[in-house]
Amino acid sequence: MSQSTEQIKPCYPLFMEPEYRDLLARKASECEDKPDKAFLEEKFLWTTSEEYKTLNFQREMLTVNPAKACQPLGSLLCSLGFKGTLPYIHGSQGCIAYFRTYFNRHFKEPVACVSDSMTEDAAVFGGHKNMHAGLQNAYALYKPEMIAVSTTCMAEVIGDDLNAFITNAKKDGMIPEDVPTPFAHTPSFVGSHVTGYDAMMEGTLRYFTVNDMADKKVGSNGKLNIITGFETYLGNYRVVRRMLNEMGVDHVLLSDPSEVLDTPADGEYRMYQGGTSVAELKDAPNAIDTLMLQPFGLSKTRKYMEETWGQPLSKIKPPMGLTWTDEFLMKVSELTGKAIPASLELERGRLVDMMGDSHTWLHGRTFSLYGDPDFVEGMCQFLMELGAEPKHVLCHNGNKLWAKRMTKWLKENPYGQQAEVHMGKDLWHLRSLVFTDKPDFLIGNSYGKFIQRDTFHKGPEHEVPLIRIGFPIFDRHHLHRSTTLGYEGAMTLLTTLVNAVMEKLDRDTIKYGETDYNYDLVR
Amino acid sequence: MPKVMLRRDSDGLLICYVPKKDLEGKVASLEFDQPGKWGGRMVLDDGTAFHIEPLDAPPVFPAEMRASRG
Amino acid sequence: MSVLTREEAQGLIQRVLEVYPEEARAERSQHLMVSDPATEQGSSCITSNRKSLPGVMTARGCAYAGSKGVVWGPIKDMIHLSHGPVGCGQYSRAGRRNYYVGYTGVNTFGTMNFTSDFQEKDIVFGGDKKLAKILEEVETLFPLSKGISVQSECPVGLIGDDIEAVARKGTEKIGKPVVPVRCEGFRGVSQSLGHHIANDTIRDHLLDSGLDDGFVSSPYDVAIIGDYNIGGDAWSSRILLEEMGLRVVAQWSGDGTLAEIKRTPKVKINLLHCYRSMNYISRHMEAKYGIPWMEYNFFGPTKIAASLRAIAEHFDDKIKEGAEKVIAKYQPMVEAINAKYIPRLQGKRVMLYVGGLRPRHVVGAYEDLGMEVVGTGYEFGHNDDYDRTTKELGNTTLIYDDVSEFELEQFVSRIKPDLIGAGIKEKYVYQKMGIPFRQMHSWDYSGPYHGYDGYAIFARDIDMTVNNPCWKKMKAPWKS
Repeated sequence: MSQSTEQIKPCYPLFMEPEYRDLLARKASECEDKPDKAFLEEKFLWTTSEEYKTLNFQREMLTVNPAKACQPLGSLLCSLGFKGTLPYIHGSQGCIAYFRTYFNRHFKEPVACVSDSMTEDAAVFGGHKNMHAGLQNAYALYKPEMIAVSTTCMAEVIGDDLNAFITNAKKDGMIPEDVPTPFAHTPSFVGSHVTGYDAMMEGTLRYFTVNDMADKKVGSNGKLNIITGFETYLGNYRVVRRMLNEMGVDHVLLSDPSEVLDTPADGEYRMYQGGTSVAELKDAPNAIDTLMLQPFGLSKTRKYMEETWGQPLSKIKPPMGLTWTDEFLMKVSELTGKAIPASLELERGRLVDMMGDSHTWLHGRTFSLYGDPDFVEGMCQFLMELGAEPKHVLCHNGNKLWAKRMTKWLKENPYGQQAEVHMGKDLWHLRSLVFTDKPDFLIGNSYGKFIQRDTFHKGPEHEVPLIRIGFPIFDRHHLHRSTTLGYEGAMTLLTTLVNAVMEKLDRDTIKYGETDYNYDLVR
Repeated sequence: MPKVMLRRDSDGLLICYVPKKDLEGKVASLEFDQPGKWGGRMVLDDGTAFHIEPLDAPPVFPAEMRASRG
Repeated sequence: MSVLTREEAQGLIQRVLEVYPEEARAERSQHLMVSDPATEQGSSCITSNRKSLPGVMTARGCAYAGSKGVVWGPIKDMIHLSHGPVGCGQYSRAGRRNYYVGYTGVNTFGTMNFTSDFQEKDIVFGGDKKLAKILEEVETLFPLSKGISVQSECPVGLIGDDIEAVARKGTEKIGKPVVPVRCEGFRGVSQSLGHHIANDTIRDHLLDSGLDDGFVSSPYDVAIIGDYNIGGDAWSSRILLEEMGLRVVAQWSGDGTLAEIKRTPKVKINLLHCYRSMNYISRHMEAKYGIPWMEYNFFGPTKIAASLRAIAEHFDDKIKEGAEKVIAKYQPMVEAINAKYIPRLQGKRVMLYVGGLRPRHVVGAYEDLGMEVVGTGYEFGHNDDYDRTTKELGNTTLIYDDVSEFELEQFVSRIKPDLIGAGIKEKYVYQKMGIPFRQMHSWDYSGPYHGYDGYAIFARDIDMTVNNPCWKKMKAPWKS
């Protein structure tokens, strides 16, 4: 009997109790047809070897532990950033349950999204009826100001015509004509969640502007547009606003879900909160320019705007780290004629001060990292500014051109000499990489914890600790509220990195009476 | 003609299960339930009725058989 | 807060329905009811297992979720390939807490994500060749896997791939079972059809083949069916069965293995916990192998004791005595737990909205703690589930089938329960409304909740959530 009222034990440590250890051992030996431990250890070691790595990299078709998700997840995030908007996904309902759950777990927030529950008959006859009833029901129940429509792969494979379906639904009076219904095709067998964000952004901007460019004049509203791309750090929406406010730059974030994904607990559930209004979207072509904080992840949007809006669409780097934040602010200043204020210069100085304080712990440390293309690029940039060295730079959802550009850029930097770019590879590839060529740390989302565990199992000296920066983060609380962009974001990143180094050192030197050196009070 | 599954529950009552409909009901009446003849019209406790082609002897339960809507 | 009268409850349902367009209202009205223990059959009053209405925020998932996520996924020494685009496998990776122990990536694979990551060309030209190659690559890199299941995602069924043929050839080539599973997400109306499809494929490809592995059965062999070992539930159940003298030969499918599945036809009785997802295979084994099955309930001491005795009824006096000994052994613990927690929870009212089993199975555990269930419903229950539900409930309990986000919010606003037990998609809505909430799918990252050890954790968790001070801090003190 393991439980007492004084100490009630959940899974751990309950299953560490002898009766459960016996039970599990008995199950393994009597029921499971399980190989013995020595054999398993030997096989495990084989999976950490050079030989295994070679086999692993010969894979052509199988994906194991991907580092990407699919398009509609991105379109959902984009849709959530518009004011009073109900994301509506045309296709199977199970997908929507998954998207909502995925965001629920990351943001610890409710996520509203409907689907039109296409089933087998819709696969045969098309989803026309589903769209009709779906729009009608969704509008009656959730009273949105706008419905943003995207698709799952089911609707795409059968080739449903979104535009015609929506137009017909309005004609038939399912929803009022004047409810805006921007839409995007977001098949999951093309690109990734980043592509889906791009598609929805493009679809929305196109919907509100493509036929209304006659009265638009670049610069006439005096504002600057910002598009974040698939951005899951709420602090990043806020820091961009703050920096621009401090500069006195009037601006609009085209899609800003930072309110609806961070509502208070005060007795009321808010399905809609904040976000970019329709008026702001319609007015966006009148801005001085539009800056895209994830240049790779917004290529489709850029293309549409290039063709239609006539803004300069100034090219910038993701404003991560010191230099690229400097460049971002200087670009904003150049575009708007507003000076960079003393407050931001002060903040910059504080960041540089921190970099000086911490450089001794970061210089020369090696980091393997993975994530979305623009994140990986920005993270590499900041690491190298700190004197740290990117090692394995893995990105599942970039493209060949991106990989080529990254490789060249990293080789030009003295701190990028060790870097290997692995494009289109997954986390099982990464596992082989960190086993055969160990970095000091791994940077990425929660999925990396399994790599940390595997490396630790080989022996503490092989352990590659995971530093959680990215998306999704399911196993730590509230990290999604922090900031990774701007000077403020760099401070957060720097603090996270340097303390990870020291925590690792403490764990390595915690042996009483043995490693009494370097287990220091003062660092 | 749906397939039905007949079994006895712990009280010995005959239970009919229709997989297609996930319908499970007690057999309220059965037309023939004698050693020499078994089957015919079967009515469940919710009123649903089936017809089972009569057999020469009661089957061994559980038993799967064809039944038509009766 | 007073419980609603029957009239008030009916009125509430009517009010909630008013907002729907006509057609949708007619449909939804069949899914909402007020329970009446006098009715023998809940199913005659409520409609279930119907398509969800388009545009209505349902919590339901799909057949793939039911097959890969629920039934197949936990079989730990097989590789379950999410066949199709990348998303499905990613969203369902390692989120369900169906625990197992093993060398992950070597001989067990439960928390990993294997996918064929379909690209546009696979849609255009078909994915069969890719699948054939994947089977070989799996075998090269994961030679200790016991087999592969191919979990079809939506496109596979739409583009006319013949995964059955590829699987057949693959089985020959690698000498291990390769099981094609047609669980495309557009099939059926919820996870439920996926459970059924998964049961059928396990039956056809694993169960009825290769039973002879020299396994010697004993008169006390049982299998745990429909326990997915969420937070270790199957382990805290297994320990009780073993303590009463039974031998648990197989767990379906939490912490399950291929060997266990194959040996199941030799057990004396199948013990079925989640009826919804595994009654099919139990019925099959009854028909084909003559193995009786019985439902049991290991939530809360009342139901546990009743279940232990009912299970023992199928065995000799030794086991019957064993059951009594187990019940007696844990009785002091149960009394201590109740003495500690009942005073803190007495009279609190709970609303539930869970999958296919727990809306009825956990009622007894709440009642053991002195609480009352005032509303319950299934995401994907069927007629037979509702039949089994009404007898568990009191008068005027609200029952809602495939309740939409909108309906549930309306019900909760009116009833103001002291606790809601549902899923992650509901969780944050109600926490913001200031209503204590527990996830009843994942045990809110706690558990196990099955068995006597589980009951202690359940009691602790319900208390910590119902009585946490945060719920009283919703309003700023300067606001009245």
